[in-house]
Amino acid sequence: MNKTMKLGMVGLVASSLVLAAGCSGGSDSDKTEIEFFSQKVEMKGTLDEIIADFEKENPDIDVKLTSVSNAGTVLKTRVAGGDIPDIVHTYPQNPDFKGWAADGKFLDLSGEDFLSNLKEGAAESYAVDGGIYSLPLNSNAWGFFYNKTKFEELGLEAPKTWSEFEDVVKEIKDAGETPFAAALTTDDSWTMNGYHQLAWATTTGGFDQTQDALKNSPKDGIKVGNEDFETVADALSLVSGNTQKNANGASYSDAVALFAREEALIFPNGIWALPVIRDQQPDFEVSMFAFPGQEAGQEMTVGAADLALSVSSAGSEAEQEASKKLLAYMTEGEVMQKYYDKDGSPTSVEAVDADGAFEETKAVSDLVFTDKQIVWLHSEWPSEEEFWHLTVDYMNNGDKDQLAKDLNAFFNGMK
Amino acid sequence: MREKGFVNRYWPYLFILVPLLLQIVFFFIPLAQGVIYSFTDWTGLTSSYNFIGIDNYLAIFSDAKFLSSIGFTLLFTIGLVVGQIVLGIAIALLLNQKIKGVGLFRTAYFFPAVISTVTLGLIFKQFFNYGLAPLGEFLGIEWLSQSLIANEGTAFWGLLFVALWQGVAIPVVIFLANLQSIPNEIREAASIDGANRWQTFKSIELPFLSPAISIVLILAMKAGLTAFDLIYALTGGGPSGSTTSLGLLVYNYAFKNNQFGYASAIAIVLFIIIAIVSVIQINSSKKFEV
Repeated sequence: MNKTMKLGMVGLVASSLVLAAGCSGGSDSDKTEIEFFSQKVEMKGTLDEIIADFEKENPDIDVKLTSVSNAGTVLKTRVAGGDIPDIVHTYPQNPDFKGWAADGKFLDLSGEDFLSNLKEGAAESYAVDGGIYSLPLNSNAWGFFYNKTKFEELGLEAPKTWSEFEDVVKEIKDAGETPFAAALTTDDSWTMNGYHQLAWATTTGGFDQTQDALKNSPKDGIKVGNEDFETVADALSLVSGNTQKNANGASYSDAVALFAREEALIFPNGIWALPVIRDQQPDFEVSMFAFPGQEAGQEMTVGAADLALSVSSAGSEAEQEASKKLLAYMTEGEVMQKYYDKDGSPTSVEAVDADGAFEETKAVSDLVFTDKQIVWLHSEWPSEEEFWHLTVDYMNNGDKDQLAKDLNAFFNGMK
Repeated sequence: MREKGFVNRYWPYLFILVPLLLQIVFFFIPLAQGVIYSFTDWTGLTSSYNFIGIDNYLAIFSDAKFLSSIGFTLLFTIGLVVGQIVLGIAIALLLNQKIKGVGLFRTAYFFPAVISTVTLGLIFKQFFNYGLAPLGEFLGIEWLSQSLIANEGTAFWGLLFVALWQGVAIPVVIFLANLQSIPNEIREAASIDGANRWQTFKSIELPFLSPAISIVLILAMKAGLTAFDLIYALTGGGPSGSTTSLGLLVYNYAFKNNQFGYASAIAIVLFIIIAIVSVIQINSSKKFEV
């Protein structure tokens, strides 16, 4: 190798290093470019439309929608690395959001005019240290889907109390049908999260009472034989043995398909499952009932903000202004209507017309924004996944001692 | 030629510099960060954390999840090592026969190696629940009539089966190559001396295979101790946490439970375990070198 070649190699390596370092340079147009990070893959099409309309009205703003699978983990990694998207779709009841907000990652939106487009108190209920760091546009809710056509054939009605519910399950079984379509794998254990949380809430009376029984009780304070614990365990047991065969190996999509094929008559899940059920084009009338309490009128639902938007505090002033403009745009009636018509989650935007569009989920979504809705209990826990796992573990093995032990192991860390 | 310029003198170092830089940036710095985080209560969410000394390390040894995970990981590794070596040699011996269509069989046994592990996990998840379970029910075999990976008693074996189904492919190739390198004269001499099949295997083939065995041992051990992707796709660590490997446990603590500092501490412990095992292994395998 001669000297020129060697010098050339040195130059090549050096310039490639410089190039690699320079790759992050931005474009030089005078448009403000902002990134919108969404965690709802199923709503990508609708968000694309909304963004296109927004860009038409604001030609100087260019919005790039990021919608990836496993978005929660991607977001955590990006925030930890300091690469926060301009607009972030967050779940403001979750501990990660609260940590980020308290850490100053997001702009405080208190005092912004567009907050007045929301139902009163909607944004304030997710305040962190008195600041409003997210714009909650709608809320999810949890309950039971059921096959209304088949129910009528069997002469059954949607249950209003827990004992009626038990009777309904028994009668379905006696008629030779399968009561529950369920996914009791560790992977899809989230599907039963609402069931377990509502079992506690309807037994103890609400959010605070349940936190007292679980999180605020003394260490190892959850015991077999305790009246509330027994009631909850019995409620969970209603699923055991009343699902399709091999529910312990079934996935979420298996359970949806099974329900849509009429092979099981009740599908416990959140109202967010409605679009996927509709996609399967079931030949029967789909409806919902709320998680029944011990007596009529004590039914409840659990849910919290489903699409909430936060603005990164790391962006330039122009980017922050552009982001706030898009947030304000999302609170306009016609815009959110478009989202609602596809998604069906009860919205906090006053101007959206919600009458009669989603009859299927009405029994549950009517409870949202009332005192019969609790916010997800894990809004006060540092994490939630182990709670999901122990729920399906109990539904699968029916071991009460193990349930108490697992619950204690999970909550002892918070005490 | 005495006047060597700076470039002339040092240019070979340039070639070392690049990989060294990459190694430092992508390996040593994260490793050092991991060690630092393991002494903190960092949640992984915010930029602030507190140093809490060795609290994380103390907590590890009273963590029931860690203990059951380490038990599972060790059993899984032993299963993988024994399975890959025994099945690998057995299959390689069969594929070394002069039979019709041997090319087809060799391809068939290598095929699983080219499937992505996650894809494999998803396929077998369906197969166990909707293929094998109805068959078990039809035959009236109770343990087979529900998904093997959904039952605490059988999940380990279901998982090991899938891991070996794929994991045995590469060892078979290694053993086969090694078997074919045995000089024919030696086998002929043995057969003239009246050695039977077992004696040929024990005294000729096995000693020749020992370097291959040592390679497979290292590969299988590494695969077992750091198992993650197949388990993640197949069981997610369940049922009741019975198939949570150490790798998956670290992932769960860091990204699901928001305990990044604690997860780092477990990762460091895992690192130390693997380092110790490697040293023992390298030392003992020197004996088998040919």
